Amino acid sequence: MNMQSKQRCLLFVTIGALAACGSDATDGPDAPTDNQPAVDPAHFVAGGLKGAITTTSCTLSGGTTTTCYKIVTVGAPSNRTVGPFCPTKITDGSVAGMWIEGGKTYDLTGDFIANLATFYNDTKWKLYDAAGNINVTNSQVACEAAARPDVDPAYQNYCVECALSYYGGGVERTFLIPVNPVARKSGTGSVGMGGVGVAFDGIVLDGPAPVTAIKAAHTIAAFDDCGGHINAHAGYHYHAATGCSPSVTAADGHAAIIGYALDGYGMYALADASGAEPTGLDNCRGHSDGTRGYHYHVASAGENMFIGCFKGEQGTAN
Amino acid sequence: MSAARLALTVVVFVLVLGLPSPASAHDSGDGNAFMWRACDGRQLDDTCAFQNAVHDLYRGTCQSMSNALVCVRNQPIERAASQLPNRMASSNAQSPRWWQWLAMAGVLAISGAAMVVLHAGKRQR
Ligand SMILES: [Zn+2]
Ligand SMILES: [Zn+2]
Repeated sequence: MNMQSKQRCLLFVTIGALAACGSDATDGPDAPTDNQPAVDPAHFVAGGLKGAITTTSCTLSGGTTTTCYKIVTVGAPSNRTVGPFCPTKITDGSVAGMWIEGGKTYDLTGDFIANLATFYNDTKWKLYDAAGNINVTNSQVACEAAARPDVDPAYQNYCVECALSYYGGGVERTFLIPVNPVARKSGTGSVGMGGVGVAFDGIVLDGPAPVTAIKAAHTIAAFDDCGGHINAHAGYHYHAATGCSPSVTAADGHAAIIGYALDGYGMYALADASGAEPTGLDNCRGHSDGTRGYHYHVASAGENMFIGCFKGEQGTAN
Repeated sequence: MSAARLALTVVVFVLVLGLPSPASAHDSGDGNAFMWRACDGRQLDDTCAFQNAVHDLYRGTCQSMSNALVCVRNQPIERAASQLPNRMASSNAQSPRWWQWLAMAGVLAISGAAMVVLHAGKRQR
């Protein structure tokens, strides 16, 4: 290598090192816009509602007093029966529900349950007896003992499922969502327990399921194929968007809207009409365009979450 | 070893070993825990990256969920079959820490000094 090419090489490497330092992703021109569309209550399916959506005065998480839509839901989708969740025998070849693991979704079949020890490389996993019957929580007492964060030791190595019939057919929920979203002046709001939004069938879109805690007790808190499951507090709730809940498609090929976040910004499906994911999402998984204003795109079903944070001031989910 | 070769060695060392690689699902077999582990030692809004069980690459930022930081993807999933050329770039998805900045500054200083030495050597010929 002659001297000039050595210098060129050095320059290239130096520029490369500089370039490597400058790739920090920051929020780009995707902040909420002034011409932000209001929440459209007509998107909600009447069968999922306790009554008509009304308006009420509300105070948002940032202290802003404004007008909110009060959406009271019945806690059960009107267009389908929830479940199934757990298979009952390890020889059961049909697909019961779904499990989320390692960024992927898996069909919950008898075979999947039978192979959990291999799947997790942990011989403590054994959810079935000598006859091949899978341990499934089959009463309200059992489901609540197994579904709580500190799983009752008697229900370790269980496939956990609860029935809406234990809760009068559904746990009623009340959402207060600002009619006109209020952008935060700075920063973002973090996702906590209690939901990030509501789907158009009235079902709460919940934060990540604590799958690690669940698995420490060797239980499978089975989801149905729609990414939902039931507990005593939240009732039936979604942890993943799999296309089951009603959506409103866009004429321009943009992803369909599937619900609203608690801050009133629209929650849209992951992919557009051509199957492509959006680019340029901010840290909350949101961006802006001229038609929809600021809006979110939900994560994939295997990610066990919908959005990363709130760009606006949140209402409430109770 | 010549100054230029020394500088090159340091640069390669820093780029290859100095920056953390994405958390991997294969580290523990603990499922989605790697999405949370990708933010170990990081702060809110730091960039992060992780791989799922089949080596698809997920890049995003650390966000607080129920008072713990989790890596929230905000880039399209890079499928394993098509992501090989991006593996090195994925390292850049991590926010540089103070010691990485220090290392980079050292690299630049060494590179600059090497260029001066080389330039002087060329003029002597
Ligand atoms: Zn849940
Ligand atoms: Zn969009």
